[in-house]
Amino acid sequence: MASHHHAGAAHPAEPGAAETARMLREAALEVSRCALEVRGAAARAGAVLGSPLFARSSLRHPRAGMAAQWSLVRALTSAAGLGFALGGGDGVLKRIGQAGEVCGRESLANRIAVTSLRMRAAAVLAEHPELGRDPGMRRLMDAVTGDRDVEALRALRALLKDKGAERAMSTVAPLFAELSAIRALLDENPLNDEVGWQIATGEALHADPWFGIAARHLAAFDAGEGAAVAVPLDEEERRALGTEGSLMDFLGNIDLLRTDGRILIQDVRGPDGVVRHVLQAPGMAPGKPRNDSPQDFVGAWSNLFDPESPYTRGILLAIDEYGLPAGAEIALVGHSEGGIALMNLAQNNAFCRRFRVTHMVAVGSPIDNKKPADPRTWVASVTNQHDLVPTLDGRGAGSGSVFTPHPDWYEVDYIDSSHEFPLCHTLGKYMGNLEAELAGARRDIDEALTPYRGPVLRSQVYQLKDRANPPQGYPLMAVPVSPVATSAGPVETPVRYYDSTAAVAIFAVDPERVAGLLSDASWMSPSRIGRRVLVALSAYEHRCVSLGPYNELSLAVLVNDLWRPRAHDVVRELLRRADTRRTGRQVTALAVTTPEAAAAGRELWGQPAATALVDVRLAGNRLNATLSGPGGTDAPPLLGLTGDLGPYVPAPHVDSVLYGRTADATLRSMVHCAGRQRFHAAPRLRLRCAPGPAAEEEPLVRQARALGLDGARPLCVFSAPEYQARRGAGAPLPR
Amino acid sequence: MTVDAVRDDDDLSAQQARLRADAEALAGAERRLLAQAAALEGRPGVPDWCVPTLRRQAECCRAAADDMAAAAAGLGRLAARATTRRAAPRTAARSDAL
Repeated sequence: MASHHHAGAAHPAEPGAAETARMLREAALEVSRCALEVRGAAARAGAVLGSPLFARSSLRHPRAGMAAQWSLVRALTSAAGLGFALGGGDGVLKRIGQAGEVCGRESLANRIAVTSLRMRAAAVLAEHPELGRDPGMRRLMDAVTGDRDVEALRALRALLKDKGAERAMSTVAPLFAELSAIRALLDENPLNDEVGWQIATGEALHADPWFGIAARHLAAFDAGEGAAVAVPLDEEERRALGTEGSLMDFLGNIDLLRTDGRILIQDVRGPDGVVRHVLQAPGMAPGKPRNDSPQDFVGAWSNLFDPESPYTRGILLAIDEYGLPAGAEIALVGHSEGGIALMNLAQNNAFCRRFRVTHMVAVGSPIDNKKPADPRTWVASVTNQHDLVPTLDGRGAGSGSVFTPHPDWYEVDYIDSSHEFPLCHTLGKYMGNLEAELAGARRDIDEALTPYRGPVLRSQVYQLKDRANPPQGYPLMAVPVSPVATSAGPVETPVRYYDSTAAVAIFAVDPERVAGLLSDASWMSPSRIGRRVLVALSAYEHRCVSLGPYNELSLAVLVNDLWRPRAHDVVRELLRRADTRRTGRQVTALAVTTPEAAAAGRELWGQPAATALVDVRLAGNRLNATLSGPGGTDAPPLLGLTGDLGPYVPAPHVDSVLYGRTADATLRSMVHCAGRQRFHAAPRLRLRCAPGPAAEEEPLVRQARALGLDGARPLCVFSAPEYQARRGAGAPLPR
Repeated sequence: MTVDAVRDDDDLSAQQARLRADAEALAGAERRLLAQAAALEGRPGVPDWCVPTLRRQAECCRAAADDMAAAAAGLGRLAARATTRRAAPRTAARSDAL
């Protein structure tokens, strides 16, 4: 197992350049160690200066004490010596040191560390002279190493302008880690110094190099316990899935899965007849962070710094669901964030005790700061030097093999002719390079993966999520259901409306007109507001219902307590919960679009339901609810409530009580609802009824006309574009 | 960075010893930087700034080592004065007893 470094031949360097680069890197390593020693010495001297014992002794012996303190202060602040090195201590001295840095004072240790980083950059430039010849890049290097932030910003802007964002990013990529570290060490922000030191000395990063924000704070954005759901591949994907275990087949599968949150687990029968398993994980999706998938930008950051993330937890759940036996041999193949997540699993002791991770192949992944828990795991890392992503761990082309903490890995760090980021980060580009320029590396990795070369026996794709979704309609619909027989077949009660649109228009009508509608129940009295009675015309588009989707138009009269009617009950009662409310809406006419809904309306709730053509649309602020006759939707509607709903204020949803009548009882049913409701106090819509016998035959139209609603505007409207509700069966009341 | 070499219970002599050790470490850093400069000097492809910068920083290390040694000496004098002061009352008390 040897470490291999392939440098591309797109820009051949001068003879001996490789040897110079190696010498520069080795010298850089030694210089960085010197920098660490100087830093340690300064820190200890600062600690002595700030020690209480020293201070007490100086007070007791001011002459000798002041002289000793002065010589220490001189040692820690001399520009010709340690520079301004008070920041290495603790307490007040550290604050003074940080304040000095804000004012532009540098310590010798920082300057030596920067020299080490510049030597690493020089090593890259020796191997790739084309970078040094680029005037924009040279200007950027000069500005960064000269601690001229404004100039550096201008140089970067000029690079972006001249080359475009893609080429500028890929130009900077080989030196990205070094430039970030130099800037961190030289800038006036003391918070990011530690990251600069971590890059300079080849340690794992614990914060971002630009602002110094701690990794744990960045990782906190990637919240979720992780979830995995087995999903099928579509026909085209199934055909394209690799059927033979090989590096290119595995990478092809990852490319096929894209970055929509899916991973793949396969069983492969090796040449020795043993069935082994291959886990294949894609990288992050470009664009904004998404809450539904761990394959996004915040997920990638989280995986970079945090060994546990929703991605790794989701993969573990997928493995459990797949039924991988304990002790099974498994190879992990990942691209970009997928490679980091899989490496996080490989460095997990518990995971490696449970399974034997034999191979880990990461393509375009920043995994240099990670290490498998099982020392037997064979690791291959393929990175393009113009790809910015693998440098995010602080180890770029400048680190070379000198700063690499794992000489036993198979590393392919190459440079190709295309200098376009993010194109060079795509898996397709990496696969193309492995097919053509890196054929030798491909063969080497394939040879290492020999135990996994053979026919694929089983493939299962899992959709990973940041967190498991609650069941549909939770918590409103989390109730026991029971079947009830109707003439149209069994219906589950309560009936659940998962996705509906609702609009309830309230009209004020003369009490005499309402009396005719409620005449069969003399004890049922309409609720009054002043001298008027309130009538509701409700329009619903039920898109997802346990009854099946249907539309609905209903007319109802607001009625008082059936036993103890009191004036203005309706207003007072609105403040009560539905189950303790005595008032409600007596439905006098109901038009629905399906026989099942009509049967449920009649038999469960005692409502005079009939099937009809009902169309309900709430688009933006405009309602279009129509009831069509036998002529269908092409003919003018028999009844229409259309127009602009006007301005609204948000309003809470109020559960409602509905009354229906059977031959010998009144049925009381409750509607519990969820979702946001809007209250329109000045709607500009109007109800219109068509003239003619067809309209007269339709009960809802007839009643609307009888109530004098033809041409009327509602008092107010309640609308809910997204509405959920559940409605239990009607409870018979002895009235 | 954490400083683990200086403890609260260290006395002045221990702190002086550490400063002296650090002065030697800085002198060692100077030698190593000079060795790197010598190794890179005259190599084709090595940037012009590299060797002079290493030498300059090695000089700074030398100066820092001297400063640190001087500080250690100052601390030593303070430690000696403190020790003498502690010892004096005890000696006086012993003579009174005799």
